[in-house]
Amino acid sequence: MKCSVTSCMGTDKRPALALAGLACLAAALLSVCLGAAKISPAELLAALFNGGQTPAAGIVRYVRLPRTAACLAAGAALAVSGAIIQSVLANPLASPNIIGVNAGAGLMVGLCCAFLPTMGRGLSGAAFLGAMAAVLLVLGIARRIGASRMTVILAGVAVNAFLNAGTDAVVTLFPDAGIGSADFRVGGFSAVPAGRLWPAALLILMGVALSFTLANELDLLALGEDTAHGLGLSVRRMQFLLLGIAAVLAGATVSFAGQLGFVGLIVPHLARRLVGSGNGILLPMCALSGAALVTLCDLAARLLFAPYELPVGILLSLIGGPFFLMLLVRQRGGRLHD
Amino acid sequence: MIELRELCAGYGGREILHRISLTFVPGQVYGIIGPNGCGKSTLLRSITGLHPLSSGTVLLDGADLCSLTPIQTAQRVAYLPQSRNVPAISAGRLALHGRFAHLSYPRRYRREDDEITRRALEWTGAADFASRNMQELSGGQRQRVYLAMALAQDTRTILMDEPTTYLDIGSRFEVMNLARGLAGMGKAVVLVLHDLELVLRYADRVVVMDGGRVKAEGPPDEVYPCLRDCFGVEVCRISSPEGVFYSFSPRHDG
Repeated sequence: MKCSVTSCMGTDKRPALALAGLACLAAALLSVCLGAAKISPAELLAALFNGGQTPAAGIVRYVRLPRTAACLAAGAALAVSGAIIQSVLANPLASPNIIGVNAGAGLMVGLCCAFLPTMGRGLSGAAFLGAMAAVLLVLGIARRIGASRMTVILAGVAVNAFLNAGTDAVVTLFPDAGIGSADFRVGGFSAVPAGRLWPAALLILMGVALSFTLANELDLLALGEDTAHGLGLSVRRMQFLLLGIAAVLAGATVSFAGQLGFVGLIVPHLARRLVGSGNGILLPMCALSGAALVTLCDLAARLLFAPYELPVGILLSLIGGPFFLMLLVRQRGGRLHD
Repeated sequence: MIELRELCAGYGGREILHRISLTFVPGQVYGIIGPNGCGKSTLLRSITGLHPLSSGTVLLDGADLCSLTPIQTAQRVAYLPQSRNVPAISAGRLALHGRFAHLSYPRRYRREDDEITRRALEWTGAADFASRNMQELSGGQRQRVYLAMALAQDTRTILMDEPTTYLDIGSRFEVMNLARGLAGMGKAVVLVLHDLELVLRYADRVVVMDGGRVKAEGPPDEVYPCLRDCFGVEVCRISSPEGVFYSFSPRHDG
């Protein structure tokens, strides 16, 4: 038994991570090159490095790159956000779209679009506030009534319904606010304003990086609050901080991609099956596979029905739903997550 | 070393622990026993700062608990709580998290943490299944992993809340032997237990609690008579060439 504890942790998970990284890269390249106008690799290189003024270069710089960046950022953010929420609430059903985090962000975005249509850059901040308010509401309710795993979800579902009703009311009363579109309600990238994307992408980058440094803390929380405390973790403060990061990630995403659901639920489960539940490797795996999945789905949503375009949220649910059910059935009585 | 002075604690307005004064000295195994709801678990939770004190003082290696952060507390006391959901994590990784309190942000476990954890796993006899998932292990094996985690935490005191519950008789003896071994390293080991026979056989000193108060504290052969009233059972001490045994039977009133 002359192996270190960390290398003793069963099979090496790095190949899976590398594979997810490659998938992510491939998805990004395809997403930039394919579409109504095909961009050849040579044109892509020219557009990126020579600053050419050809139509192809324009498409790459002003259409494809922002869109691909939006897909990558949204996928990574929602998947990591879902993994964090599932760990902190110790509940496999929890995810930003189920417990009302996305809905809270959506309502704030809706209100801002209706009443402060000029606020552009501040939108991701407002979305974060909405997401955070929803998180705190769910956490507060769960603690007040004794946080069993089921009550957290029930409270979340109720908060979710309430907030979505609020958004529906705004959509109905202010049809010109621009959030009634399918792109916003189910999530899509067909019209991502650059002014909203870059501040949100910066927030996402910081949030994801910060979450990677807190992987051990997340592991400890999964051991149970008392054990975590015994090992030296400030449990309440860490839960608050981690859910705050999850809210930043989900809120920033909603501000430019709309209420993209499901990624936050299925990607963490998928990643957990591939690399196990150690958060040190699970969070990067979630970020990479979430980014790859959303980018590929967006590509498919653009290409399959060209010249029409399906909001990617619809496609994600169409593919993700049956896929998730298949996972459950194959698991047969086992648990996806403890 | 832990000193409790006039410790009181409760839930809401109801006081559970009444003026508890105890000292846990290094190198000794302490067994805390008492009927259900007597405040044993609350006592351990109060010592680790999980449950707020309403009055009194807890000194951990001479430092006041109130002035310590959770990290500083965890450097002085390891605590293994009672009901644990079985986490989906490898045994080695779980034990490695015992080193958490010795790192500062951003916490990356170092080579020496690996080394300390490996030695702890070997000492508790858990090295052979360090790569397996906790959910695949038996109750006795899991308890060895948790003990390795507590050992890796490198504290002078270890608190355990019912470490032998749900274990078969052989595993119970093994856990108690490991507890004795930890005391042999110069640690104070404090166990909350329901199994009276196990406590009287293995503990150096026994703390008998009832209704949130300490009824008796001392070596097993001094405190055993008071178990009669505490638990409502007859206690018989049998001295034989093989050692001292205690036998419990229902109380015959009248």
